[in-house]
Amino acid sequence: MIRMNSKLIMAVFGLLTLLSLMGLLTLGDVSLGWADYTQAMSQPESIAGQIIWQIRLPRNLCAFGVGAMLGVAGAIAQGYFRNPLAEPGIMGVSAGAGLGAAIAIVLGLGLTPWAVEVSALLFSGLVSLIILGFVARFPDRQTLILLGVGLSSLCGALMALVFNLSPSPVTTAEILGWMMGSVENRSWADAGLAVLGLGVAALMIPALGKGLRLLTLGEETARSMGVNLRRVAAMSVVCISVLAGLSVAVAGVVGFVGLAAPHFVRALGVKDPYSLIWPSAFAGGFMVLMADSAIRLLPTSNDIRLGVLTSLVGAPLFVLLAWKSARVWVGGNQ
Amino acid sequence: MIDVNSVSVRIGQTLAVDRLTTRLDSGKLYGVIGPNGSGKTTLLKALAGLLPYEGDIRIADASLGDMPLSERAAKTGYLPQERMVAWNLSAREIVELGLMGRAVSERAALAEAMLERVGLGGHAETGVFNLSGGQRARVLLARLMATQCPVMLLDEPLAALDPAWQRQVLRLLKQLAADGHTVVVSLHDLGLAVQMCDEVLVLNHGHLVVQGAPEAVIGPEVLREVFGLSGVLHEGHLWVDAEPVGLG
Repeated sequence: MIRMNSKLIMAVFGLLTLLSLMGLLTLGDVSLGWADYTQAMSQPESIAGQIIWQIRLPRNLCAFGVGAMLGVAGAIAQGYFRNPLAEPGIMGVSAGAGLGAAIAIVLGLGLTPWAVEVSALLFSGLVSLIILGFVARFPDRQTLILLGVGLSSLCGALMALVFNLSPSPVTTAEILGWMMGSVENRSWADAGLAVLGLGVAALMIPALGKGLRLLTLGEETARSMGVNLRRVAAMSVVCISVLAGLSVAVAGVVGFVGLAAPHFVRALGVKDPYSLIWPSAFAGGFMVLMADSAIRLLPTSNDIRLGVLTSLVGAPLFVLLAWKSARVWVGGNQ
Repeated sequence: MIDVNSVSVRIGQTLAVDRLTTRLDSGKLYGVIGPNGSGKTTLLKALAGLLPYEGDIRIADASLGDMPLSERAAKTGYLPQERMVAWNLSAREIVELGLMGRAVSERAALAEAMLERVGLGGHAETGVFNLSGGQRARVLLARLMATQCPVMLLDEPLAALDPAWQRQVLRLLKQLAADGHTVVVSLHDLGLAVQMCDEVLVLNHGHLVVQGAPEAVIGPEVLREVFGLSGVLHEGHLWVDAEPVGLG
């Protein structure tokens, strides 16, 4: 099996991403020639310039940014919960963001600039506050997982109610479209939200390093070595919430990436829960970028939604990975 | 050196340690022995600052309860009974977790030296999931030893080890004590406690029944009253009848 360290993984995915970003600027409904690219570089306000700078590049950057946020959130979730099945949605924040977006759409705000995004963020923030309230009293991971299951179920039920009360099939279709994820027609401002999320994470992650690493040996060992579990829990919740909430606000629900990206990094040789956080960002970003490119390349009459494709492609790969790793996991903690 | 003054610890409604007073000196290996539920693990956790307690615990004259987390971690190392490891880190990476205060450049060499001491020098890059239970226990012991804390608390470190490694680990702990550490270890094997420990603390129902040199304190009465065994200590060896006697 290939073994790479975290810096090499980031370098490889970073290079692949850079090459892909450049290549993907040529991908779109309008075919551009060399003269158009030259014009786009020298005259950003030209039609070719607007296609490159206002449509293709923001879309590609949003795809990478959303994947990167989900990869980081997934890696932190798995590290904190010490559970390979943990993913950014484990605490119900993604479900809360989805509910917020659905409510905004059903209230007729779908076309109002930023309304859906802000509503998604408000609801994910509300769910996060509930979780943080619990963390203050019960910082153990089992309580958080149970709470997350409860909040996800509640948001799911409220989402069903929103569908139930939806005024028209068009509105229902609009909500469904949002729930299936997309980075189509995203702007620089959306890409900025992804940068904001990753920036917040970059500020907080160094303080999580010792805690996530020592939690590998269990809570008692971590505490005996000076880890403040309440602080680690609160910081993990904030990080996961910000990243998951913003990713839903930018692109709707893009499943599977947060779960799979850390596992792909592990398969490449990085097992330490802290060291794999940023490589997971690159892996997740690359995954979503490739998925979004595939959507544009696939010859279908209706665009396949991003979240559908990430799950369709990622799930079989993940099953293969799980199959290969099964012996190690099963033998791991007997 | 640890001073424990009238310490009580409650686990739920149960008084797991009851007004326990003792003094544990540097340079000695202490064995904490007693039947299941006697309070051994609770006492070790309280000494590690992991459980709230009444009374006073002082480490080198500083109150454990008033210590910041970092100072407490620098003074006390703790090896829990549970050997769960969440991720398949290599043996070296696990030991390096005990060296987080050291320069990154030093860690790998120190970790490998510790692994040598527990007989796993050739397994530094092996994932812990690929090690046997006994080997994993030794990796975790190496992680604790790497911390070089003045006080080391080990909860049943011999579980899962074969007889030869049980003795070898106690020799390592005795060496740590000889180097000036205070080493406190909970044990179930009375024979090993007698042969290897400088002193034993006999616990029963949360009380410290007796403390002292094993030959002096483990007599027929303690064996009968505390462990429900009929036997004697003779020339450093414990002779116990096959049938336990009732505690009454």
